[in-house]
Amino acid sequence: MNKVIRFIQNYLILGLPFVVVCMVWETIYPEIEFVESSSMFTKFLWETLACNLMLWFIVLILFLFSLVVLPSIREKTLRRLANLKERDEREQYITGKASRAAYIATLSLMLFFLFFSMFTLNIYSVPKEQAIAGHRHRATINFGFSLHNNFAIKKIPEEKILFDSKDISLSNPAMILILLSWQLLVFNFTARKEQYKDID
Amino acid sequence: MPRIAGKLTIHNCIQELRNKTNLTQQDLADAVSVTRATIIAIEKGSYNPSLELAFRLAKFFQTGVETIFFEKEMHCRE
Repeated sequence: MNKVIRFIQNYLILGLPFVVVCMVWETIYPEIEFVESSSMFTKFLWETLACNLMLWFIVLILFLFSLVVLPSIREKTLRRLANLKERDEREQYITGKASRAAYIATLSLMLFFLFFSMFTLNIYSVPKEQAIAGHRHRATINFGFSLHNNFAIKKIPEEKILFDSKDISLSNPAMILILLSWQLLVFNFTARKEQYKDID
Repeated sequence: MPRIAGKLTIHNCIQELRNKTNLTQQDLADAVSVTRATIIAIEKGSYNPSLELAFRLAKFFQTGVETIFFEKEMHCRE
């Protein structure tokens, strides 16, 4: 399992430049312009890069999914990203203190973002004839929550779209709410497990 | 039952014991399987080791835990 994870990580890192090259190439010379007139080598190179691009994205999706659902992969991968050093008990203690600080700070920030993504404050002036008791300025506070973003999706009439990820994209408040719940759930679950693991 | 509240300040004489045995901080760290930074923190008194590490240190210096770690500031016993 470790070898597979390492291989996937290495492929994602080493394959990234080729993905970028493919994207830049496609942007500068769209496929349709050169595919007919170019040499065998160029065609072969293009096909290889295009295959790599598809494979890279599939692997990336699988990897991101595994990060969420498999704790062992999450631990191995994100430990490096988060720069967690736990070589001895003092470093574990420091990690615990730092995690606590990060948890509390993130929680406060998410609560702040959740509040500001759900509430809107409008201050506006109205015409003289609509003024009440001579007051032309009004302020309104609105509250709203929707699970999905309401995109005005441009759909090409002649193409029948079977699936569009934008149809199910989550709204900002929904994402913050999910993150908030996720963090609270994971923290409490882990803390409870650690607290009672020796008490039977 | 007496109630013991408040913060206890724990002192130690690791530096003295280490100097007496001509050991560097790195030597001691390697001997008890911790990092040098941990030994520095313990000597400075900014970090209190776990009971396990305290016993490991005591075992290494062939003495008791209470000889190395004590509550009141006093000179280390010879």
